[in-house]
Amino acid sequence: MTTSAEPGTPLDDATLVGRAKDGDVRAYEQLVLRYQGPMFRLAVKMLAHRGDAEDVVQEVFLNAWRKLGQLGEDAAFVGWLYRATTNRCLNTIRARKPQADVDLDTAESPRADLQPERAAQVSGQLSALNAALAQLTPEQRACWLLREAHGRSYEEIGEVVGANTTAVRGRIARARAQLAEVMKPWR
Amino acid sequence: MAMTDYELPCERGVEQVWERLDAVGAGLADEHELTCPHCRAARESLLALREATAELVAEDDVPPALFGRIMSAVRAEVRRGSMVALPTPEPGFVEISEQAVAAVLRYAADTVDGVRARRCRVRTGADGVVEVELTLAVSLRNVTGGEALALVRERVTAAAAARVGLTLAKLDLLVDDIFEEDTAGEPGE
Amino acid sequence: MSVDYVIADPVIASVAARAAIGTPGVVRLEPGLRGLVTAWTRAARQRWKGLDPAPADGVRVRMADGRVTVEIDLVTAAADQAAAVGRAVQRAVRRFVTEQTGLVVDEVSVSIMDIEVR
Repeated sequence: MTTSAEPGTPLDDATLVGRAKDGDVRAYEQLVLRYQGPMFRLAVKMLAHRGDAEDVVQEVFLNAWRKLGQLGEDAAFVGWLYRATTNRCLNTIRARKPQADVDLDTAESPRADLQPERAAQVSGQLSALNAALAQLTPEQRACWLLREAHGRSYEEIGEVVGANTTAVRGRIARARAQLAEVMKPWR
Repeated sequence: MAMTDYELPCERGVEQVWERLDAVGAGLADEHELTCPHCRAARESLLALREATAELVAEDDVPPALFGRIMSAVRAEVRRGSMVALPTPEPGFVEISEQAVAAVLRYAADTVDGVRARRCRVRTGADGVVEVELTLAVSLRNVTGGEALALVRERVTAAAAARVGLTLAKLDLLVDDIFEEDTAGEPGE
Repeated sequence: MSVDYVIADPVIASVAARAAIGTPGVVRLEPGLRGLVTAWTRAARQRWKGLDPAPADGVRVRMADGRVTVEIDLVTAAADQAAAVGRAVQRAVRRFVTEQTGLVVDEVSVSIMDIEVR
């Protein structure tokens, strides 16, 4: 059933989540349409693989549907999604490398199957940024993406990655410096 | 000049240069910022980074099949357990999912000006009686008047009968939130 | 409990499905369980073991002692009253299955999973 009385007026998250908790699949569809884009873009930047990113996003939304009853405040849904997506991505990355974290000083060429499946590079500048992102530690990458590409607050990012805001700022600063270094040729 | 130390040789920090990007661009640079080559180089790199970031944000459209995959999995999870019996003289039974009924009733409540249905619980009592608890948000102007709620009651009861084929033994309306009329309800609020 | 197979269940299921889909007010069958066997309780699986086509198509047929029971999951249109559509499906399926197969249908049970604006 259409759930909006005023056609064209998008319903707020809290209303949609409330209805979805009741089992209203159509309300949940609206939430998926609203947030599948941001979640997918976050996952694909974290994982450098569209197929893996799709799997993560599908699991996030399916699990969110199952766990809706556990969500305290309905308006907190999007923060919940970011947390789930980031954590699943970090877990996926950890599962790829069972040994200790890669030493950032050694130049590690990305696995061939992890190259982003894109037909053409949009710009040299952008492809350099994408390559540089892959060189950050997963935690740095997550913090930087959540801040710079998704506009989340430091508090929120801290909750997502399990660190205080000082540590978050530090990671973002370090990531930014490293990325800017790669941007030098494009000045 | 390695920027990975994130302190420039002039002892200013990369983050500092970052935070000052717009100010300097607006002509508010201080003496040091105007003359220091390290700061200028850092500024240019950071501007390029900002530009590349904007491109990155616009990249990566969602694969078109993803939505369908998600919703198929979600629909498969809709439990059959919560079903409401409907009257029929035929052998066998006719039942309807509680969530379908809830959607009909919420829709009916939404048609009243200044009312937004939130949750709708449908309960089937022991002897088959159907009881509904409908949670609503109302606009400011409806807070004091009972007219809107009376209209909700009327339309919900009518919809249950006409759209579903159910007689409601009980209909409880619960107002648990207030909203301002003009707000269209931006996502994330 | 003995089980007779004269006409294959998938045939009955597809006849029933056709009757249901052709009933005014029915939007589609709803394969709500999509073959996810884990969604079935053990009791339900025991009951249907070996007797029906995969539940993925929204129609389940059970045949015992030459008598037929049919269960259908579907989605109805918002313009029609759900209960009335359900009853119409019960009648249509019972009549059509008997017409096409000669079998007596004991019961037709309809589960309306959703109502759709169409």
